[in-house]
Order: sequence, then structure tokens, then C-alpha cells
Amino acid sequence: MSSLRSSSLPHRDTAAIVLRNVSKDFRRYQGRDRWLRREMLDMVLGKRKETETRTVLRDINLEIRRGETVGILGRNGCGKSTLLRLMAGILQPTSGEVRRVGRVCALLGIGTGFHGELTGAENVFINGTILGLSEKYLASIMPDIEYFAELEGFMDTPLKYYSAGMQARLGFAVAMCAAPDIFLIDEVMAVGDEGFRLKCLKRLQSAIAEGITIVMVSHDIDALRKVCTRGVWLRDGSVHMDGTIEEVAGSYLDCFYGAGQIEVSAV
Amino acid sequence: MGLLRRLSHASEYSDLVKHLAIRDLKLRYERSALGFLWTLVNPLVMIGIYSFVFSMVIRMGVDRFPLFLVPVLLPWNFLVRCISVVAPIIWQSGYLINRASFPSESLIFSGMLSAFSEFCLEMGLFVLILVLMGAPIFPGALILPLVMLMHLVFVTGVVFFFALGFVYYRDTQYISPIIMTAWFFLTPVFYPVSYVPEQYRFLYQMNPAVHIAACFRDPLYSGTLPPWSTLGIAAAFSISLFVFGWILFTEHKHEFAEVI
Repeated sequence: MSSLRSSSLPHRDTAAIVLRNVSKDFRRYQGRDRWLRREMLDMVLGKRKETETRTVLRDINLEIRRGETVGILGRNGCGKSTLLRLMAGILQPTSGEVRRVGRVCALLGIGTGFHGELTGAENVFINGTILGLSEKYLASIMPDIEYFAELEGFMDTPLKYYSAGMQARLGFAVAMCAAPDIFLIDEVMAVGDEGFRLKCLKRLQSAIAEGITIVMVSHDIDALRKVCTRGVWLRDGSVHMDGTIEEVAGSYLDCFYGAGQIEVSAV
Repeated sequence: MGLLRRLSHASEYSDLVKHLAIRDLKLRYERSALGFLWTLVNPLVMIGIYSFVFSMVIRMGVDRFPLFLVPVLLPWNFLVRCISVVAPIIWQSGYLINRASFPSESLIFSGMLSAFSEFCLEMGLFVLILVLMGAPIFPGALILPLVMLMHLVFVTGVVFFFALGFVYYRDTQYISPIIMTAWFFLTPVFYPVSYVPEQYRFLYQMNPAVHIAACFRDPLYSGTLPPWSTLGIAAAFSISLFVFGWILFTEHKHEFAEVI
């Protein structure tokens, strides 16, 4: 059932992200952490170091073209987040090759680097520079961020006085205003109230119209349907299905609710 | 080895380094009313205690002991602070490293920057006091900024090694205080090198900190320029430690997200 990618998808020539034969193993050392004293003891005792490897992704081939919006589905632990982190360059593949064209912004957690003692504006600078933006650019989009996050008048208040929703809005606003070429989003759409979520969606859609590439991981199938045109179903670390989001989401849901119920235990 | 490429890549993140350093300093000082004064209390107390112990209890026979001690004690404190505060940063920043793709050495560089600014403040105050006391520190002190920069390069190199240690081995946190204690006593902080027995001198001078100590002490204590050979050895140690440390660090940094 692989490579169901239909020809109805818009064809653009340049690739944004290419994964070729990508596999990822995680090494697990005997215990949890490595201790020098244990390794020295093992060396003295002549014990061989036993490392266990767990294959999280196996031989992934994916080509994401510029302007494509891809939703990644799959059950917990199937390797979705690992795939996204490989695309972001946070992790390196054990074998195979990951190629990126353009500036990537990975939104894998809201407000990475935020600190409660710092003001909203200061946190924007920290968070934004971590995302790879320059100070000058951040200063120029600061009003935009402030407006988008609906935090007018709060930017000089320390973050610890913000509500959880305000903090999340600020984090999301930075990423939304960052205008990357490739936007990787991991399960963070459920931010703020209905109004703010709608605004994010609109912002994403206008970015899509401008040709941004989006790869999104979510368990919220509706959100994926709204944003993405293509769907990739990951199962046991490999691509189980690749096609339009409707097809893939449909089959994915079917296997829980519909005809394929027998599969559930195996998925 | 592409050192220039590494440097240019790091410079892309200079804004990040800057803002992390500002955050660091701000968090440390903003909320305490005395601010930078606290940075000065620690060295002052140490100087008082060392001076009492080593000039009155154990009589080292060193003329003007505080003036002998401080030019090396301050750089030493800087080293200790960096090993205990900056080196574990990578290991403690698992959350960040797992969620964003940015060069992780920017965490090190920003930590170094904020620690170095404190060090500069301490040294500046000390030189000011010397001048007010009318101590003969010229022309030697003119070379001081250069020596401090060299020290920064040296300490950054050492920090790279410790940072890797913290990431890969949990017991680094127990080993590093032991190393620092041993290193302290094997460095001429509170005694002159001439007290080290002749037959151990060569071995003793394998410690790069010995040469760096001389570069700080000569200008500020005796008011002379350090011998060019000493400066050269110290600079060679510093630069090679830094380059080697950074290369080792960048060779391993792609594993950090997995290991931490």
C-alpha cells in the first residue's frame, strides 16, 4: 500500500526535504546512564559492553517538495517525532541521508528556551534566536508578534505572570511570524482558545499560499485535514501508506473504527 | 579541519550567544539589589582568608602576599566558575537540545561570555586598586588585556572537554571537583614556582596553568613583562587546547540529543 501518492497533488519541481534510505537506531546503554566507574570496572573484569539498539525508523524514503503540506500519522511510539527531529537536523540518521533545502523552523515544543523571570520581549529574543532568527529581524517583527499573540501591553511583563495560554500564544506567535521556508510542527496546534487556534490556522493557510512547506505531526486528524494535502502513515518505523491526506486519514481511522478493526492490535 | 567554517557557522548564531549571555547575567543580578557586588564578595572573602592563612599562619615568606595572590587567584576563580557552571550547561540543557536545531556550542560560548564579563570586572577593579595604591604595575599591565583574552581561550578549551565529560559520563560531576582541587594545589596560586623542588620542576611545568599564572603575576606583582617564552608556551597551550577541544566537541555534538 505504499506510494499511493496521487498525481492530483500540485507538482512543484524543487525538493524541500529528501530522505533516502533513512534508518535510525537508538542505542541504550545497559542501565540508563553511562558511568565511567562502571566502564572501568567492566574493562578490568573483562566484561564486554553490552549495548542494546532499538530501531525506531527503518529504511524511510520520502521526498517532500517545496510547497507541500504533509501530515504524519501513526500511533504513539511509531517514530513520528523521531522522523521530524531527523528532518530538523536535531538527530542524525544511523544510515541513509537527509537533505534539506531552505531555512527550517522546527516547532517541537512551544517556547523553547522560555524563562519565567524574563519579560515577554526578552523571551522572544531568546526563543527566536534559538530558532535561528537574527536579533535585527526579531526586533522588526516584534509588533507583529505582539499583535498576533494578543499580548499588547504585556511584552515588558515577566513571563511568570503570564497565564499558560498567554505563554503558549507567545511561543506560537514567534514561530508563526518567523516565516521559514520549511515549517516542522509537532503536536503543538492545540494552543490557546478557539479564536487563537483559528487565527493560527488562517496564518498557516496564508503561509501555505505563499509556498511554505509544512510537515506536521499530530493526533488531531481534523487539524491535519485542515492544513495538509498529503498524508504519510508511519507504522512500526516505516512508511505504511503515503497519499492524499483524505485517503491516508481515512484508512488510518478505518483501522480503529471501521472495517480494519482486526488490525488494531497490530498497528 | 575546516576551523574557519566552524567559526563562520558559529558567528551566524552570535545573536543567540549574546542573548543567552544577557539572560544569564540578568537572571543572576536583576533580582538581587546588590547586583554585581555579590560577585565581589566571594573573591574578597577568599583573599582575606588566604592572606591570613598563608602570610600569618603558614608563613610563605612572600613579600606583599595579597598582591602576590590576587593576580592569579582571580583567573583561577574564573576557571573554577566556568568548570562548575558553564561546562555542565549542555548536559543540563537536554530540553533545548532535543527540541531545537542550533549549534550547541553557542550555549558554551554564551556561558563563557557572561563569566568572562564578571572576570573582567574583577580584574578591572583590582588594577584600579593597584593604581590608587601607587603600585608599580606599568608597563607590564599593558599586556594584561592580551593575557586575559588568552586565558579566555584556554578556559574555553578546558570547558569543552569537561562539557563532553558531563554529557557522556554521569560521574563527571563527582570527578571534576577532585580534578579541580588537585589542579589548584599543582598551580602556583599561593606559592611561587621557585618553591617547587628542582627535580620536579620539569614535570610541574607540564601544567599549562603554571605558565598562564606567570603571565598574570609578572605584570601585576612585579610590574614586568612576562618572558616571551612563557607567553609563547601559554599561548600555544591555550590555542591548541581550544582548537582540539572544539573539534572534539563538534565531532560529537550530533550525538548530544540522543545521549542526554
